[in-house]
Amino acid sequence: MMKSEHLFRSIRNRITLWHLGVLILTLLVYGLLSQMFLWKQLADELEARLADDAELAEGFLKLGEGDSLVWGGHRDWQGPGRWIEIRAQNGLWIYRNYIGAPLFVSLPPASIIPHEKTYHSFSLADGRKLMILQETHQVGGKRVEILAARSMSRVFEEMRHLFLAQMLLFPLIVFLAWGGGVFIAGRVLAPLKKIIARMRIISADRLKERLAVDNPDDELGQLSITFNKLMAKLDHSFEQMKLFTADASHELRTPLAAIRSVGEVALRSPENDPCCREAIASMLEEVEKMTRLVNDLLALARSDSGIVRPALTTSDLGQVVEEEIALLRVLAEEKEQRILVETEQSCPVRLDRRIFRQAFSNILHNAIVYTPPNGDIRVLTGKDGDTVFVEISDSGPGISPEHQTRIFDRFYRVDKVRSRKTGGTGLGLAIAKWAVEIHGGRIELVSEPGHGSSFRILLPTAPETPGLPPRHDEEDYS
Amino acid sequence: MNFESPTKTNKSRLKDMIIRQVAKQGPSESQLVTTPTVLVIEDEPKVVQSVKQALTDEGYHVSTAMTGEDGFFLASTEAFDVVILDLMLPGRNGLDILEALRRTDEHTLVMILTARDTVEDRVLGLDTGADDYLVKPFAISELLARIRVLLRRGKPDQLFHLRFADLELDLVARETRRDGRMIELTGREFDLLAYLLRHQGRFVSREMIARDVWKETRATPLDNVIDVHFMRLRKKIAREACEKLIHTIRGVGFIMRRER
Repeated sequence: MMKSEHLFRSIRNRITLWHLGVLILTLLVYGLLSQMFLWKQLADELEARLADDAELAEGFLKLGEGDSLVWGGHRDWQGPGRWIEIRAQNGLWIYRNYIGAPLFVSLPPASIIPHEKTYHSFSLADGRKLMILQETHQVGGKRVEILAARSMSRVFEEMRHLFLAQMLLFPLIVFLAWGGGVFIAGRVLAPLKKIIARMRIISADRLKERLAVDNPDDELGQLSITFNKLMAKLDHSFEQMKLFTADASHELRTPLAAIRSVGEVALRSPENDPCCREAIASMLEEVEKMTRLVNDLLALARSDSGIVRPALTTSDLGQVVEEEIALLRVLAEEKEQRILVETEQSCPVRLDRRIFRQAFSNILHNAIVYTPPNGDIRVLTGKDGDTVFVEISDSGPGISPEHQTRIFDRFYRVDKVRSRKTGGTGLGLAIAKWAVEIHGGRIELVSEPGHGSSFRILLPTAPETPGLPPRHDEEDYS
Repeated sequence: MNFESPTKTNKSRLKDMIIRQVAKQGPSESQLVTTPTVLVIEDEPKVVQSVKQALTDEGYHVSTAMTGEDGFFLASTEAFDVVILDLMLPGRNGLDILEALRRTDEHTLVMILTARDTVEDRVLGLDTGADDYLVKPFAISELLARIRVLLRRGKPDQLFHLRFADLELDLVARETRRDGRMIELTGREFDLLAYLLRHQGRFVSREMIARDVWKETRATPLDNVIDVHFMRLRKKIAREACEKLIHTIRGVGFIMRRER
């Protein structure tokens, strides 16, 4: 439950994050472009002003004595933050609108082509940034170099305003988009969540039920339709399997019933001759074996098809184990074996007692069969972290490694002569394995030829809160 | 698959009352009560034949039907004490027959005899109105025992003592005596012996013992356990110069009877 919740949230998060990622990228590009645009505009504007300044300055130049050009305008023409310099061809200053040493001596000479504008950016000693226009003019047949400069502080200020505005606005937009994204993703996923909840119910208990399809054309509708088709198939094969086991039961058991009843009736009348009775009795014994085999095979067929659903109750493993030992103890007594039991207190476990006892009794019965007279059988239950276990150790001949992997296989017999004599069907351990696995557990085998075998059944511990036992099939979803 | 017959229902109580009233009315009707009639609806001829013979030997009056239609026709036109009904029948399904029968007839005791052994099938059969459910392949002895139980249902079984030959069981004190001498038995051995004594002269199968004495489903380990208990019980009640009372019939089960 927790895991799928988490998965859901992360799908939601993923959608939202993608959303935000795209938005942030868009905002960044937009911010960058808008700043570049503004910069270009302000720079163009400034350049135009500088060109005007230069044009005006040229207008103030007039011919003075000695055929030289002189400044005809006001001495302090233009204000603070603006600089004008005019130099004659020989490099002498015609005009500077500021006092002190010339500021722009480091600039390269202007192009000699008239009216070709060269712009420079320039830093003053006090850190102020300026934009400078350098241009050669032809005044009265003489070339002069005009240099106009303006402070860029206004440009920077405007840029800063824009930047600040963006810095304030963008996080707000991102935040709103995040909220909206989470909301929308939640809205979009809500029906999906509903579908999953229904799917869980259907696949767990009610194979006949189907999901409602609200809109067969959208993705969720498609999902529901696909799921419904899948369930129909599954349901069909379940039905087939049930039908098969029912048919097989009938077809296999009816002739057995016939042999058995005919034979028993024959044995009831005492007048039949002893030889004939002997033959019938021996046939009836084989019928019993066949019956057992059919029952075991059908049990496994049902278990394979997943029809069997265990009826789980919370039990104490030690108690269940001791009950079963009490039942089988006489068999050990007959062989003068000792069954030594060590049960740890409180091993709560969710069990279908009937199914689990099949597993335990088959293994314990094997232990009794294979332990020699006067031998010991140890049964140990305990808790190990999240699992409870019961370990059945015999002092039998042990199982060699090549048999160990196959011992749980159907009809696999280590010692064919011996196991037939005990009346087993060869399916006992296969059934035990299934019976343990249907509880979400497993069986481990440790054995060494000559040193006995030890079967360990491990099962998940029942949860601490007895009020809310987890369903057995919960793990299918994790 | 541990399964217990349903407890005494109102239906069977009603039937017993009717039987008792009928029995009071005169000897001709009481004759009807003492030789109960059984209808066997089953399509496997060998099963029909042997069941019929076993029931006839036990003193029942037996009719048989090999198809669903015949069975339903007989069951709805004649009065039977017990109907033994197979579920998979040619012509008409056993459950359909049962359902149709129960619409008009609540008293006839119906025992389902089928190869289907899942809990769901049993529940379905009993819910449809069956009184008992026996899975194939069954032991004839068990079939007979169950029919006896069905017919006896509702009648008090207030036995405090069981007796067979020189064997005596006090069910209250749980004491066993043979030839007047006390025999020490374990609880399980006592239950087993009491069960044999209740069925004295009749075969009991291992299934019956597993279910009725151990209250367990039959399985290989349990069969061995039952055999061990029988062996011990036999040893304990054996007395010198006393006849053998517990007999094992290979392939069938056990019987408590005097040596012939």
